[in-house]
Amino acid sequence: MSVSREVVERLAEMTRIGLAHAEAEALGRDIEAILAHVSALQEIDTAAVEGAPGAGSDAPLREDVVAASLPVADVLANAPQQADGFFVVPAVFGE
Amino acid sequence: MTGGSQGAGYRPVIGLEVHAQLLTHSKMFCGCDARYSGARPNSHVCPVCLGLPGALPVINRAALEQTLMVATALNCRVPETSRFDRKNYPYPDIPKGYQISQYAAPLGRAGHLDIFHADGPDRVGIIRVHLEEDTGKTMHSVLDGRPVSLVDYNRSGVPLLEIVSEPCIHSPDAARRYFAGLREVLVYLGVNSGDMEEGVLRADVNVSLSRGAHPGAKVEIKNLNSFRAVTRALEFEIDRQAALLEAGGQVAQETRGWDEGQEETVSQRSKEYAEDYRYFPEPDLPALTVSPERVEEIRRTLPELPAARRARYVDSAGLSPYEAEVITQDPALASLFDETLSLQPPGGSKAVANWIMGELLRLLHEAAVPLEASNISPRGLSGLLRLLGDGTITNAQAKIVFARMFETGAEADEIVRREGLAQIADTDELAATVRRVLAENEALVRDYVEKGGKTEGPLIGKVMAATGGRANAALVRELIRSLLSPEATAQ
Amino acid sequence: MTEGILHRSFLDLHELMARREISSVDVTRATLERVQRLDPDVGAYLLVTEEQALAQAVEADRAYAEDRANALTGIPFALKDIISTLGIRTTCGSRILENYVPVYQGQVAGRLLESGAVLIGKTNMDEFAMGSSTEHSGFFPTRNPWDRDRVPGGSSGGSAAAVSAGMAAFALGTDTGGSIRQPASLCGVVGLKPTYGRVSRYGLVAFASSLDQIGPIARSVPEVAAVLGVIAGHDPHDSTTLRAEVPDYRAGLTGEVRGLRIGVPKEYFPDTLESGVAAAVSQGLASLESLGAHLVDISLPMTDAALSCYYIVAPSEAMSNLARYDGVRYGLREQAADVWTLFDRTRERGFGAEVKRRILVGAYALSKGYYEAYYVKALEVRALVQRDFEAAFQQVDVIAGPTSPTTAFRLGERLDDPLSMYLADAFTLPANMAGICGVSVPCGLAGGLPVGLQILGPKLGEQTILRVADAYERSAGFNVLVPPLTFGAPA
Ligand SMILES: [Zn+2]
Repeated sequence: MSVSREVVERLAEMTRIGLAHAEAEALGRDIEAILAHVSALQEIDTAAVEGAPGAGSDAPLREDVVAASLPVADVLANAPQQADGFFVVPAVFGE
Repeated sequence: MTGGSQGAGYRPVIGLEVHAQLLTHSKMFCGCDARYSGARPNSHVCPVCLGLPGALPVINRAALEQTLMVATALNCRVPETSRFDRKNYPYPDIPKGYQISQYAAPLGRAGHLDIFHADGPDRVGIIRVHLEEDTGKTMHSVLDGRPVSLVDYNRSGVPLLEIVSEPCIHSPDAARRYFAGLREVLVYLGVNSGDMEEGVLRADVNVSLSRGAHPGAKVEIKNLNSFRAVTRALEFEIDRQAALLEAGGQVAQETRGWDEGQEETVSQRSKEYAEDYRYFPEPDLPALTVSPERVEEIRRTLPELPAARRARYVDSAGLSPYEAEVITQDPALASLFDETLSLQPPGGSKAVANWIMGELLRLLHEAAVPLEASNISPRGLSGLLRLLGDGTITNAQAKIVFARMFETGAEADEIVRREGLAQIADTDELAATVRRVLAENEALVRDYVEKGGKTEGPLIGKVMAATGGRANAALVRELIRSLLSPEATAQ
Repeated sequence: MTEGILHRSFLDLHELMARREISSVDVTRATLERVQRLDPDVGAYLLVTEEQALAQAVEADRAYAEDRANALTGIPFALKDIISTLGIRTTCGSRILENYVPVYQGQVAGRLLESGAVLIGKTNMDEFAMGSSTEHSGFFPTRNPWDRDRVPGGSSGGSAAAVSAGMAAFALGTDTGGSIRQPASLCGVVGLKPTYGRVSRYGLVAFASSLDQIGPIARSVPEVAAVLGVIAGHDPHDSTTLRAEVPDYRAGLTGEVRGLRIGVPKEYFPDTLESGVAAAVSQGLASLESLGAHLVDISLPMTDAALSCYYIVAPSEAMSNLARYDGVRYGLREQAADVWTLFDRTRERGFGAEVKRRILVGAYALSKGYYEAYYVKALEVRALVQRDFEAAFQQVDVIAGPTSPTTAFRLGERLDDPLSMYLADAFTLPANMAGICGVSVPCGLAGGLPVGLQILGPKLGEQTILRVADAYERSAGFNVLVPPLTFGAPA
């Protein structure tokens, strides 16, 4: 179980966390230690566990009735940037 | 199929993933109004569909029911336990950073849809039917000279059905037929408006070219929202791949977009792990249990689907395949047909079909409204056909009555009475008029007698003109013949 | 009024208020003054809501005057800053939410405020509840009132420290792997983690949704029981809440434990257990035995595996739950020319090292190629942990042992060694994996630092574990452990 800097950087890109190289290496070591610890799981016999997860439970259902939405001012109250009722971000396809 | 690929012996292998917004009042997991079209940006939004910290989803019963209807109509197996999963991918219009979807345990599996056409039915296998939430919308704009994206979450959380076909379609035209067939089923079930311009129905298509036993690399084209786009994108892509292969090149497995303006597919560069959605069971929602009895109940109460209806119209109502096709295009038209027919004496199906396909479609088209917005009811149409059948009104008058009915919704006999449109079928009254006309047109009468009755047309025309078109033409002919018969003139 | 009153049970304060011997304004003011005096040295609060608190106290006194008060009316309390409060900043101890002000009321905050309790402020915590020392707060560490060089435990360290130092009569914490019970143990107060689904999570900012549960921290068991009675119950906004009725938890505190079977798991007494902790806990168990309970040696073989399992399940859910903090809708935003760089920079600056660590571990465990080996395996082991407890509760009524393997450790001692920090939760997190309830009650001191006795019960066994804890608390002769506050300006 080796977690290389490349793997850490790939995980970071997947989860959109910018990482400096040095940080990636330190995190790689930590993650490796954690994974080494949890690898104990592999030795546990789980053959006796069967059935789909959640079988037997039944999610409650909501009636299809329209309820009030938030006032637009509240929706945008915490927005870092807004214009004409929209949230604004730099271009998705920019650069 | 396009020429290039066929010539080279490539066989297109096509599958479709169709996304359909369900017709619920509220969103998938919150009470916000799901009908967002035309609403102010971010005005149909709450903590749940905005993904505020701490907000939790609750499943909309109607969305579940509608999905079960579709799964059942598409002959899917509905497992007793199904579940929502999180599909994780970052994007500004995904407010939680994940979409609640179904992955490992969808609501429907292993179904099929039969598509009818000239050569008989084509069966398209359905791999799965699952329920998820729609994303928000990102629009591109410029603010203070910089390119920006504007995000509106009104669409976020609208219930979305995903229907995934087997890759068992082999031509762009068959793909279009399948998409259209699916649309028809969804509209019939009343779970989707079918309004493609509004983006309520979108398809992702995947296509590869196989030669012999060798499968080709799969290319996915995302977000096609018209039948034409599906056909054109597939045609383009098949040609592109065939040309590549013929030139000795290789097709890259990738996702491409459809450029509507240029009419071409464009590579959307993405890293392979961008597709790693890290699915796992949605911990905020317990699993769903759907009993086999519930599925059976839904199956029993499904409305008749268009394919079955068409077959019935041809087989037992005696319509032509074309007539059956036209009438079943819109479930409201088909219902009008069925209900009107049930109020008619037997054998009236042709007449009902003619009125629906002729006058009704013409008026709907002119007014540019759906049937629901007109005032034509089964009772109304049936009443009109009765007046026509018993000779109370002429065909020409019936059209006038029908137009009035379309506008006002009044009953046919009421319109006839109010507007004095009833046909003059009273023999005595009409005989007086005919006598007067004959007396005033001696030359025509002479001509009629000399030519042995061959010139009755002009005389009938005169009578009709004298009655303002209200005379029963057949009766007028009868009267002229009997008044100008040798026995009568001899007297 | 002396500050001494602030260490009395709030149930007594309620009686005094009901008899108009003191007012909520008096108690609230005294509490605020104490916070002002002590908190600079403790760091329990991230935000003190002084103005609102005084206004609420006035309202509470009116409720008493009009005879519509309940046990919580007018009582000063604190909320862990992971519980959403309408209009009151809620940071989760993270820079990424430093300026986030909820626009909706969380379910539990709403219930407490409606009952008339007076919110003093929001308490410090490990960022997004990830930690066992409150050193991972994005703002500052909280210090243990018993020894300011030591941690208060975590992640609800601010809540436990505030209650311990008399800066709130009670507080709410959240417990994902022990985050209520462990700090309660280290600060010498009572902390309860309810059965999963007993208390609504609507408004609780999610760390690991299938494990998170809100629960009360107070200085005595009857107070904890009183608070639980107000916050427990079904919530239609949280699909995982249980429908079971909420009993009168205080009425169940009979002091009677005769004949009760108490399981003592050998896995909770490893060689590495601090000797002072072992001694205090053994003494606690002995006094329960002397009250007539039977101690039964049992085994929970999955105890070690539960820890490994936890460090897959919790990070996986956290990875997904924390994806929404992207700088688009709320919270921190780092400027960038394109949206992806904006995401990367915002999350790089907004999250601390422990949060990043867990997000990356979670992404790893769920990514293609590892999902089966890690996540699926962890879910299977989780099922075995549940069976462990189910089997044990066939044999015994409750399970008892140490809450934490150690007393409060020194600040910084484990900061660079994530794994040793994780071990602090070894005896608490199995209850979260199994969804059962547990309470930590002080059982004496070791080296001048509090030790907690943990009592675990089956699902919805709150009444039983509270009865045992209360019986023990009464017999132990100390109702409340008061820290020897050797700091702060004189009163
Ligand atoms: Zn909403």
